[in-house]
Amino acid sequence: MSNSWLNRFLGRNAQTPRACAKERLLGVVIEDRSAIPSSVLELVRKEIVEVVKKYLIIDDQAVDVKLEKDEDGTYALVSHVVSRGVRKNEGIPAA
Amino acid sequence: MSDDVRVIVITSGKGGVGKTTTTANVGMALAAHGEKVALMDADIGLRNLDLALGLENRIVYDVIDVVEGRARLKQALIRDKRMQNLAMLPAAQTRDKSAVTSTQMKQVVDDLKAEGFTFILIDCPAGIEQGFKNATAGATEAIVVTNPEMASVRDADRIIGLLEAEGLKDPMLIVNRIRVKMVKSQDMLSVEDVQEVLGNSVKLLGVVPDDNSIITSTNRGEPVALLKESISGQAYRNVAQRLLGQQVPFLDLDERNGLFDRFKKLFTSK
Repeated sequence: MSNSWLNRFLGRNAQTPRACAKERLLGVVIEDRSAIPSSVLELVRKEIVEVVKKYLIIDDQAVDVKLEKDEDGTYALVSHVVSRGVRKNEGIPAA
Repeated sequence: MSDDVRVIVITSGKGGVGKTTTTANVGMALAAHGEKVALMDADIGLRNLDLALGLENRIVYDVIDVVEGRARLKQALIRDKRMQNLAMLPAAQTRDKSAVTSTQMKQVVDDLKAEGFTFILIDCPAGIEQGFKNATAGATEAIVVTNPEMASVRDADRIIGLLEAEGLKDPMLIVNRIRVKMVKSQDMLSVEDVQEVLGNSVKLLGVVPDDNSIITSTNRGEPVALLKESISGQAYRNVAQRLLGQQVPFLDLDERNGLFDRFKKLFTSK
């Protein structure tokens, strides 16, 4: 998943080349092993964006979706969403 | 009796990471320990192991000649003059991977076993297609060679999965071309990083430094394992010892700091 805005947000450019390589490798290797293609993850990501957008103010690039391996060897779909606040709409309960 | 023969495929997925150099050097080092070693070049159509060993001028028959009955195995095997108990079975240069089947390659391995070798090392071609399947067909153990570099580690991970599917579980790992200075300056993946990415099923067999003497010795057709003073040669000799079940500590490659680094240390250490 290329997600340059989020990468910058998370400070990847501040990482060392070694740490960056390791993080990227762990990402692709887990994708290769799970046999869930990144194109599918991208579709999931886009739909999460649509759902979250209904309720929260977010940037399109502020949703990150990735696979992580759990202790028991199963794959977990992990999403990280950066929000700038609640959308003021009908149907959304006020705080 | 022939069940004691170790048949090890040396593979990587990605090309150019040092499979052939590893095969030549580990083979030489095992032979130096008195093992009877056969090295088989399974890269049909892209023969290279002969160059790494400096045996390119002595080839008469190749593995395809053996498979197709034009030569007996004994005729095709080339004995190394420096190391009498080392022999190489060359790949064909004018054919391609479709010239043999896995069953035929397995038969060649069985015939090598019958020749009394104690180690058979198979130099696997790059890729995951037929050539990979042919090279792994007769093997019972696998060595995965990788560089501390992203594409090669990713491909190594794929290969480990494919080896497991072929029944070659718990492969051994050689990290080749490590540059300790770059690791220390956080610019290169460390051996530990590579292990973490590849997971626990992989056993570390060797760490070989990036070393100019590999290039010069390959140019001369003399595997570095024959050179006493070479650090990479020592790394390969250690791999051979570990294959023989000996406990050998990993080399402290940090000691290879140049004069300039030692000066720098003098001034920067407290």
